[in-house]
Amino acid sequence: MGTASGIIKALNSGIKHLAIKRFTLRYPEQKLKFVGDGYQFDPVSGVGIAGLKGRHMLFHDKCTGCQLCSIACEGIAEAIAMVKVDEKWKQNKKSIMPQIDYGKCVFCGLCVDACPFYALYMTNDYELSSFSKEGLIYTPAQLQVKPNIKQDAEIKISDRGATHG
Amino acid sequence: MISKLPPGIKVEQKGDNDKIMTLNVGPQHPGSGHMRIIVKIDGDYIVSCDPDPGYVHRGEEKMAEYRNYITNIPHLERPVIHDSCNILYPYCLGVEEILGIEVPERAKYVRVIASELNRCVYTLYWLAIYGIFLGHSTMFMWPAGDRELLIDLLEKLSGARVTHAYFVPGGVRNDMPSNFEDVCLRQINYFEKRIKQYDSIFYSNPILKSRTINTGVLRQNDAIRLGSTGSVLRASGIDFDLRKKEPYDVYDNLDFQTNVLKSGDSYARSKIPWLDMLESCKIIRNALEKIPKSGSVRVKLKPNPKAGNVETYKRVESGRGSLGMYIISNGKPEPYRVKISVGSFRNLICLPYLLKGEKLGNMPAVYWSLNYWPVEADR
Amino acid sequence: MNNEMPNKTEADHNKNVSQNNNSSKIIKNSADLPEFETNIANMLLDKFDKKLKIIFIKKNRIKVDVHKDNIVEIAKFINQNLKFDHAESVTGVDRPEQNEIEVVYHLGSYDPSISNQILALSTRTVRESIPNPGFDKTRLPSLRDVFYSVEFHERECFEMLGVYFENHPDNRRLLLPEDWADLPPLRKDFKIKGR
Repeated sequence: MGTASGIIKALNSGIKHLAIKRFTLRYPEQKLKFVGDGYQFDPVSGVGIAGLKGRHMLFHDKCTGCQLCSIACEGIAEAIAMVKVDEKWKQNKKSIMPQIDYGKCVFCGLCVDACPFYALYMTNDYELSSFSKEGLIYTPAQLQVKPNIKQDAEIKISDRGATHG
Repeated sequence: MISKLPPGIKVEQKGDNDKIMTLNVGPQHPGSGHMRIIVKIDGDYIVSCDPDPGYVHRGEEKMAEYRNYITNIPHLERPVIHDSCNILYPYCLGVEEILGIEVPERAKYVRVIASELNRCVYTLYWLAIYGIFLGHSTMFMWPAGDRELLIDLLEKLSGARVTHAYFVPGGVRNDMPSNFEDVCLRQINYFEKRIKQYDSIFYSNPILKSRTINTGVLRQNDAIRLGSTGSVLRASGIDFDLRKKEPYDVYDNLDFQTNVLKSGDSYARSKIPWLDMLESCKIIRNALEKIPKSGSVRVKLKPNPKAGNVETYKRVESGRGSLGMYIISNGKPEPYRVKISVGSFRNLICLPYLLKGEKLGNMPAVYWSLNYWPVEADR
Repeated sequence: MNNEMPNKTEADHNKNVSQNNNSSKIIKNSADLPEFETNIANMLLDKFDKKLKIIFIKKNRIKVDVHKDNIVEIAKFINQNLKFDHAESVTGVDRPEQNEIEVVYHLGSYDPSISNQILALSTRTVRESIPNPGFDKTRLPSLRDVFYSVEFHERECFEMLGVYFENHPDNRRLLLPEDWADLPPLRKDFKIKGR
């Protein structure tokens, strides 16, 4: 192919591109919609449930303080520490629950796979920034809170290209 | 005194030839990881070149000896976070062999889909940097934008945009979400339409052609002798793709072909990954047709699985060529030795060979066309 | 001479053929051994007899153990007659309890007829408890003249395990920093801090 026709071809393709809609997620205003409520794990079948691997959620009424999540994290990020809580649960004799340091966590979700009591799940919350390192350490009380975020942008494909609708 | 120095260290002798100049290119971070190339130039022409990797060496092989077969997963994918499914693939295949696990049929198809999506994600990132290396900023923006389509799919599938930690010995972590097939098919069709336009904007661009055609030519017998792999090998006219030659999982059921170009120059090396992406789209569509509609995707393992005194060498075709893992077990929960043999490291030996006699200005075009990923080569 | 070598990599489920090796040199093609791989192993045994030991034959994989004095000769034969034309990886394995370091060359081929085969060629060298890389007895002949592609792999093996490759043109550091003065890091007595 000659030089001129190559340039014309490239220009033609570029001009066609002018008619295509913008494919940019305007992030703080728009947020991507995810599948489900975050990554979960079913210990009976041994298979996870698809979802975003975001911030964890701890169910205090199910946690037994068995430390399996902490042991799973030992070889990975060492982000989980077991701390004492001021709550009395009959399944949790030692009253210890995981505390997660998101400065270390790599969001692999293997702690969720390790939990046999449906106590630790992951949620769609990924906005975890903080002004201090201490602010990234989430105590069991903070992990109990269900995140409330509006995420509705999805990739839509039309004749004029893909957009985040 | 000098003879007492260990062989790892050399005292540089003052050269008597003043014409030759030594130039350190790097260690900068061109979007991929630090890498230094020491070139000796005579005027504009490169006399010799000495690649100096190791700036991002983090000892993955040593780390793997201290962790058990499951907790090795998140750190073993770190060398190539864009291609994390493919680097975990040989590890999972190897561990499955030494533990004697049979993977469910549906999991094999899900693995193929995930690894092909990942190959495209890696190739787009690589192509974007190749564009910006050659001053073609449109080619940086388009792949970086289109990558979002596939990142979105992988995020729906595995729950993370990069570093998926999705493959485990015994299958995959979770099943596909409910409407994934439709979404995947729609986005892959659109994606294929998009990347076909790269031909007009990039590959038939006369400026790119004049910069890459006939620069850094790797002849066929040299490609064999240097042991190059992946797109570098296939651009030199050797039809070698492990997905065809040694089909793992369900690649022998799927309908695709390998792309081979004869010329062996930078242009061919930059075109092969793009042709592979078009082929990947075909594989994904084919796999979505043939996937069993239901079934388990993961075999339950014991908490700390142990293997006997066995060893295995498994290899897969990653985005950068053959990726092998040599796993030796000695009956403990941790592997005795894990050796990662990566395509980037094997292709690195071509760089001094290709750059000899080349103009300095052509160095980025040759260097990045080797499909080299510094972090993966250093491990 | 190889028969005295302890062989730890033998496993129960690896189809171990080294026992019937001494009585009959040629491996009988039994039903559980793949035919093609057995033929390659037999060709090697035909030529070199006692100089090598077949450790296992699996589908697409053969492992051969040789003494370090014979490795160049055998590698040349593998390269020229068996069409294995490049090395995929060179792995050093530290085995302190046997006081030796094993180096495994994974040889592959781009010839279409055997491109799915991997021949693992392993050899062993003495391990010194206080290593002095480059000056002690931990040495092996380099295969760089036979398989050009091992050049960087052998450099990596030298810095990571302290195995000096004789006749290698370029035994410099590759990945480790130039001022690394500790033990070679992939030896078992080099411990990661905190573990």
